[in-house]
Amino acid sequence: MRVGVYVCHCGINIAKTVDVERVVKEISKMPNVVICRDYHYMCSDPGQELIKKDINRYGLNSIVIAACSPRMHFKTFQEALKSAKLNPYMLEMANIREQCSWVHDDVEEATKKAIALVKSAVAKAAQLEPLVENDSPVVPAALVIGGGIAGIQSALDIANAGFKVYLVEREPSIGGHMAQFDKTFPTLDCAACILTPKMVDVSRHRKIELLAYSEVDDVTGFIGNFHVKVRRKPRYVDEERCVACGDCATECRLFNRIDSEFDEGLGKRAAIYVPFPQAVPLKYTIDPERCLFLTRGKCGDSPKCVDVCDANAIEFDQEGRTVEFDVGTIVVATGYDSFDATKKPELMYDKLPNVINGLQYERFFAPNGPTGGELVMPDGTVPKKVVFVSCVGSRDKKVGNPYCSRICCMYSTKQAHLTKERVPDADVTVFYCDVRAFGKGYEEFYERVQEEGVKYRRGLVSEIYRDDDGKVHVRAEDTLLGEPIDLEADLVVLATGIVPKATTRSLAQKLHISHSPDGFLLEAHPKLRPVDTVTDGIFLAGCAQGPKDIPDTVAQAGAAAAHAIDILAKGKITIEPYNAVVNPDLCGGCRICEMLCPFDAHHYNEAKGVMEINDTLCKGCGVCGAGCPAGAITLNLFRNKQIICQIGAILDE
Amino acid sequence: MTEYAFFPGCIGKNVYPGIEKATRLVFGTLDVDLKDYPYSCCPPPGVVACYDKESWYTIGARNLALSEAEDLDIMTICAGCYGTLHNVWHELTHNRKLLEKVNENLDTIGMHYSGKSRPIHFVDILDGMRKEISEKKEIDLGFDVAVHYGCHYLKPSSVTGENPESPSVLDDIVGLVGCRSIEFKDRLTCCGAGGGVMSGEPDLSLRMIETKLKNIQERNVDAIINICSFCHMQFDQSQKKLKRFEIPILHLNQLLGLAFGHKQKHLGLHMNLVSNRDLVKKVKMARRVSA
Amino acid sequence: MSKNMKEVIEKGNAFACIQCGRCTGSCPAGRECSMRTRKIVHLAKMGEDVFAIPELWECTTCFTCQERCPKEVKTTDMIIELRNISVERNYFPSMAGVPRIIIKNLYDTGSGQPLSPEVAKMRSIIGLAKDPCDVSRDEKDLKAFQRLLDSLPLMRGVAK
Repeated sequence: MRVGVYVCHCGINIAKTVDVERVVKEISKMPNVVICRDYHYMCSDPGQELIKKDINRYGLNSIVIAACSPRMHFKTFQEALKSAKLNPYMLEMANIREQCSWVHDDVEEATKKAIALVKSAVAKAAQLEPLVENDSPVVPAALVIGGGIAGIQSALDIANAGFKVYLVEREPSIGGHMAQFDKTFPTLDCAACILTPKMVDVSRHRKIELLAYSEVDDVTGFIGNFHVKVRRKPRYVDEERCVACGDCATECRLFNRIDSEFDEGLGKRAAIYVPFPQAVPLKYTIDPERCLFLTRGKCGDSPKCVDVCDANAIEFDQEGRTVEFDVGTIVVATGYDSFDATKKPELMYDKLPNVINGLQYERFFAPNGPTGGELVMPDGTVPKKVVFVSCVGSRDKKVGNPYCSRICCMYSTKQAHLTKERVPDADVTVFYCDVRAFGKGYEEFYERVQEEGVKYRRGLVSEIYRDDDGKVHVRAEDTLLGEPIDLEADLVVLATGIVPKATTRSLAQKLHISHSPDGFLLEAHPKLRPVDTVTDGIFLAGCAQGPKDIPDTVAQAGAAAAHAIDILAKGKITIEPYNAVVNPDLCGGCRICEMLCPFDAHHYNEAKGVMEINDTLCKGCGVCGAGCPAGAITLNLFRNKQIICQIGAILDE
Repeated sequence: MTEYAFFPGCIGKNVYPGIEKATRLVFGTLDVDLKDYPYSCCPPPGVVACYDKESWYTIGARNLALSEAEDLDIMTICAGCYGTLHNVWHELTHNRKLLEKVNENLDTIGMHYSGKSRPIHFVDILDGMRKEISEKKEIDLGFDVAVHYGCHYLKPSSVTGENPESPSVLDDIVGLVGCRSIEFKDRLTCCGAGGGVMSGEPDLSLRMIETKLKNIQERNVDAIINICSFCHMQFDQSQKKLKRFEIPILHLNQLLGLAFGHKQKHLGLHMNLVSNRDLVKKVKMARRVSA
Repeated sequence: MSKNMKEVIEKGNAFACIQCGRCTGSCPAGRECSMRTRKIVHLAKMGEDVFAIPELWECTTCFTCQERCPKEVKTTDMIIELRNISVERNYFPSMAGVPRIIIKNLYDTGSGQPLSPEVAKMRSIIGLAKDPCDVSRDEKDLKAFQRLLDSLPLMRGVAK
């Protein structure tokens, strides 16, 4: 082997603590080392030119670079090797910065350590073999899971780029939580007015196949080649025939008897329903748990919906079916749930009818809500004293949610404004801890709402009770005055926070993606890779990844789409050969590696009786190699011989 | 045959002995054996823990150590004693250094605590004997009662394991003997006696209990039922000091004693400063459960 | 047992406090006097000598604040530890009177509330032992108990 070694100063980052010249002197004495140099910044253009020139001049066939962490510039140096016509895997880096000069003070000790590290790298470099990067084709289609604003945006962006999108949504209609809002902060745009055009775009787009009222059951495969199984739940209504005239719902025996999910339990629906008038797809669905015919086998003399449907669209014998398809990338946009305020019993959410949560209050204002947009209580009165309670289920370790839900300060401010708009002489107080008005126009909106007469008292509500006259009271400390207060209210709105959807955990397991301790899906890097996951080809958008408002959701959805399009447009993916390899002569087919692999990369070949590894799924983690009792598995770039030589070089010191 | 070491505490023994007697009668009826030990004061969390915690842990550990040889759990009838003994037990079984220090102190009188004997408040024992309570009930009392949970039985929940915002055990148990637990404002609030406030800040203590009594008075109940001898003392003595309340106050064991058919004299009902005469009359008129 | 403010803050997790005020809002004593639980935590964090303030003794240790704190600050535990420091440095104000008597009783009889002859009589009337089983029944037990107390910091400053 003809090894070239380059020791970087990295300015003073390395050279201040490591005697670089001495390292060069020691390494030059090693066998296989043809040339050993030092330079101030190896990653710079001149630094790389140095390497390329030496490869040509000295016929080098293996390169060692002693510098920073390979996570910084490994690819950079690989490019340098490639342009000098050397296989990019004939490269080894010794980290003498993050693991040496940056963590030690003693120059003598640090230099000795650096010498040992470089010797070890040289020993490995002498054992490297050229490796080949394979290509794998990409199916030119994407799956978007979740049809809220995040999923809708991602789907539209990917489809507009010319690729087929399957959009899967578990509810009967797309729209998500945004469809439930009245106005959005801070512009007070009507939520439905800005959302429904996008929903219609989705339904009309040639490239988007909308699978509503469906759930993803199974996903196998890898980037470029995911195989997806989706279960289409039966609506018991023929979608082709249904024209959504609504006669069935009006005539249904359970008309107005079932709590509407869309109205957060404040409104009613029938057993056959559309969640809201602007639903997409606008098709009726029968609730299989409440419909008399489906649960008891009979509905009076005959089901009213069947009698009254001119289109003959009711199909009680409809069955669910599974559809299967392949995609190249997946975007997960499954959204959030509201925090369940019954977990804070001192706030009496489930005990007092005039203590409600933020999403429920929103339904009062929405024109398609149970009160037609009027602020009127179930008993017909108009609330004159409204109190907002911040941080319910957020910033609260007691209920397991230490994080801030980000949007509650702003949505409370918005709802306080809407309250004053409907009832100008209402006495509105917001009990807050910190007002988080972080976005564009938010602080200005907060000031405006205060000018409208909304009072902000600093202090979180500690308990709620009802007095003998039936009036609700909140207790808190006004911390700025340093006095406990007891305020009477007609209506108390709990600004409940955001929690990950209950189905997130099982979905994450299906997709082999992780979630963070707070339960939201985990991004690949908290600062620099907010839409990627550690699983190649799967991206995140919206509140599934963490609490955020609509502008951030739409931005993130676009970013996820861009990353997805990147893969689809390339048409193929290059697989780095950091994978494990099975020697079929040694493999006994015991399948232990299959059980150990966290990425499902092992496949048992029945015909040959040996294991095979899918090098696209394989991440090179090495678990199978450690577990194989026959020693039949080796890792490219971490072969046993290479490691043993490295150890030998260090111990020789 | 279940057996517990019995920790009556100073109030239930030396000030309102009716509570001790009622306890012995009730648990005797329920076939539970109570064994006595030469206990000292628990010592009170309000005064002693606030003065010096190390002393508090040590004196408490001495009490806990007494029944270790027989491996008996210790039953308390005062939530103050429970607050002390249970917290001492919990802390010493989770903090090795503290246990070592405490045992160093106990060593001066040749004693040692290993963390075995576990304190349990009498309410939890009763909670597990609902069937037996219903069976032994001889009189369906029919009172409207205001139940007072107090503080140290419920909190801190990380140590007690209880549900402090919406507990139900006391409401259930009084229900077993035919009583109705009446809702009243701030029913879970402290009686104002703990933390050394009763002795150290008597005016504040009185203001706090007055608020509670006002809330209860608006409800026309027959009695206030407590599960703590210290709260019992506070509710009783304060009414005499305030002069404008006359609501009978009973320890839960006294209520159960009445339901089991024991005589009010044996239960010490006459030892309260607040008269229980009307209550006793009601018992005479109450429905007897046929054998 | 914390010896100084730094230990009190660390043990009590006071650094996590966001001054939300749920503690004071829950405090039954705070509604009837000027004690503000939240302020005590804030003063402690700022390094003030909180053990010297008289309001510290107005807490009944009901634990509601500690129960409800969203940041798991050990408010009540901190107050008790601050009281310990206060006693040790001789700051305790109105507690000079009655509580000391209780400790003296504890030493002399083994009970904070000793048995009076009247109540002893009442005991026997209702069928209880006149001389209850406790540490004072046997002279040996009481003497041992007093030896134990002698070795503890509690008796400091209490005349025997």
